[in-house]
Amino acid sequence: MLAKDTLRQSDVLSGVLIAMLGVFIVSQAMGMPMKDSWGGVQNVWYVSPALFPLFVGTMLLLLGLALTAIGLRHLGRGGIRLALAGSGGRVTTLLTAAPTIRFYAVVATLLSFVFILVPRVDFFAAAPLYLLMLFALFYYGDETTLFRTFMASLAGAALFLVVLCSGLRDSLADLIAHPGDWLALLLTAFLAVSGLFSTRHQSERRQRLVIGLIVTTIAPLTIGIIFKYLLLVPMPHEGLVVQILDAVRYAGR
Amino acid sequence: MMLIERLTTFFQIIGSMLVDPTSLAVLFGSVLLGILFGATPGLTSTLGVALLTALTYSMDTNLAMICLLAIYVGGTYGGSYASILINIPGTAASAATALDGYPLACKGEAGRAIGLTTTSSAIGTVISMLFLVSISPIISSFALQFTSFEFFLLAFFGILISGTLTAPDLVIKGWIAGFLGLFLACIGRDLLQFYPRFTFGIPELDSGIEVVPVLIGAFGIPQIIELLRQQTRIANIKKIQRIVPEFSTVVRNLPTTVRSSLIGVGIGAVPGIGEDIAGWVSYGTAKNTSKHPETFGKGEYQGVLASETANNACVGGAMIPLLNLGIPGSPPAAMLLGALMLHGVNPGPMIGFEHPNFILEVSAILLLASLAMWVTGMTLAKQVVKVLRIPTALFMPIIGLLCIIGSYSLGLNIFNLYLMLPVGIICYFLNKMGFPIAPLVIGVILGPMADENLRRALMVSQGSFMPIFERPVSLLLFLTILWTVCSQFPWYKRGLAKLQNSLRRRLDR
Repeated sequence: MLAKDTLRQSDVLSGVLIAMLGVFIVSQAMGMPMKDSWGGVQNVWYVSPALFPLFVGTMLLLLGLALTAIGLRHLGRGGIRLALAGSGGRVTTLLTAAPTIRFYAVVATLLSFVFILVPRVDFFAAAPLYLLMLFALFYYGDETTLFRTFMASLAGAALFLVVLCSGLRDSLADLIAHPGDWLALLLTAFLAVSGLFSTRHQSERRQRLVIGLIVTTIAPLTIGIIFKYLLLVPMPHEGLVVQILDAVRYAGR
Repeated sequence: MMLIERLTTFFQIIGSMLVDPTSLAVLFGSVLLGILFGATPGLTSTLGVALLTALTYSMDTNLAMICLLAIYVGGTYGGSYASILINIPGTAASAATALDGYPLACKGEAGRAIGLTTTSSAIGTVISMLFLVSISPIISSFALQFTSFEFFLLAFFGILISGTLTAPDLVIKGWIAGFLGLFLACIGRDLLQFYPRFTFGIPELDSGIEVVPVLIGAFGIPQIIELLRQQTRIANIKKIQRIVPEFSTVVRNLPTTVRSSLIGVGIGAVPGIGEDIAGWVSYGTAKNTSKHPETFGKGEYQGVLASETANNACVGGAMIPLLNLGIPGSPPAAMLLGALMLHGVNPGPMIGFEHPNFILEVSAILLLASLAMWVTGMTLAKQVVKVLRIPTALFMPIIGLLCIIGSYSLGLNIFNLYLMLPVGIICYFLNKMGFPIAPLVIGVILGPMADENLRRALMVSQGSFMPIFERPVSLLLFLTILWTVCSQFPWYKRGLAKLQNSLRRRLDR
């Protein structure tokens, strides 16, 4: 949690946003059928689908305004002036601080994995890439490599976006089956090799990289196999690796 | 005589299960599976019971019941592991446990916390079993007094109390979080008229927002982001000296355990509510009745105990309306209803005639399952606590993977993932600004119940709110809500302090 003064400043902002959300909910609810007929049935206010959203929206508006008032009362006029005056410098410092870069790095990796990779790439190929990227950022990587690795992860996400979400994927699919899966596996291998190269003179980091590579191999396989073959949960996207695993599974039958 | 006969039959059933190695193996195996399900974010005891229903179809009815009840008991308890160790509740029922369980783990007392919750969960299940076997018809008839107004007020009270208790900064932020959860619950087609609300033309939102992705997103994603961002340890680990709690500790906490069990049984007996709210109500009661309420939320054993005992006692409580009325008391009990019908057992008022000893058999299984849970939990505790030794940067990405596949596995809907992540990021910022997240999740869970019952109640009363004041349970709930809100205002606290002082002066005279 933030420090108290910063908290009250954020309360003013969050109170306004919540009050605005309340206004939005009420305005949307006013457009819902209240007394007119809907689906051939004559409505009354207490049966209307607008009743509960109106209640929730009104409460959010009132509570948001109350929170704003509490924040303003705590800060006073002097506090508000100071907050507005110092905000520019604070924002710049915040954006370049290491914890902030780490925040962006985690969020960017999670967003890329969920929105780009999971729906389009075999889970068993995407998960190792996701894990190794996070290990490169936070486990065997350090402060000196953080920004570089973060930029590399953004570049990788952009590459996947171009390949998988444009017509390029279909063109590549004519040449090779499961192009997204191959790309993920290649990038994972590239990350592993570049990690081994960059840690060749640092034994502790090298040791962490090796542990990371072992976990990257075992964890997705274990989790994926339990979900797919024991709990019978099909993977979000099944491609190259699932075909190989299915072939292995049914080979004995 | 009848009581002696029932007791004799009860102990005979227990004896026959204890001497059968297959029953014992199924019992312990199912409890272990249940604990793993409960501890894994995204896998719930409901899912476990659902999966085992299919697997146990060909089994003998008795063995199938052992399997299903054991995974239910284990799954409800297993949620406490993730709550205590990594502050990510494995199930919604364990969300209250995280409030004090995780601070205890941060102090290096995770092992002791797990030992105490295991023991109190077992006691809670046993007490609920006693209620099931002795006075289930009476509790069922009381539970049937709950109509729509009571359900609405109970849901609203659950959201309000969780907001009041969990707010680390201002109480108003807890209430805002609860109402944000209620807003999320409004998304989708409404239950009575099927009118699309806040769907913006997105077909995936028509069925509303699933609870589990919101739960995982709200608790899991902020924790993953924060631990990786700050590069802090998950929690501290001291040398584990003793997991099994001392007898004196158990006896000292017995009043809390018994009270929490009664709350769990009572709430479990009301159809449709479930373990989630039982934990919160019990936690709130423990905090309000404590001599040192300021210690709650900072690593107070009574908080962990109250939450876990109640949600486990809910298991037996949920069996009461299930077996006597054929109405499930919780979502896993609803799955059990399906399983029972598959095996030719029709729960309801006639069960005493069609299957005279069935309630005794279920009670015996619950007793043995709670003992198996205690043994398995104590054995696992020392090993599970070692998870805290794994470096955060190695462990949290794997938790992220589990959260993602766990969110997807429910409903096999990729949209759940698209929902989970933005909810998680928003909750991260809310957390930073001092908004508690638990009331938001409670709002999503109880929102549909509150919405539907409010409108049903008003339909019956033709738009009048007077039944709230005419029905005793409704009036009690309304006054409790009023007190919960008013007690946060300074004028109320000043007035109460003045009253207490004047009473004290009069007594001193």
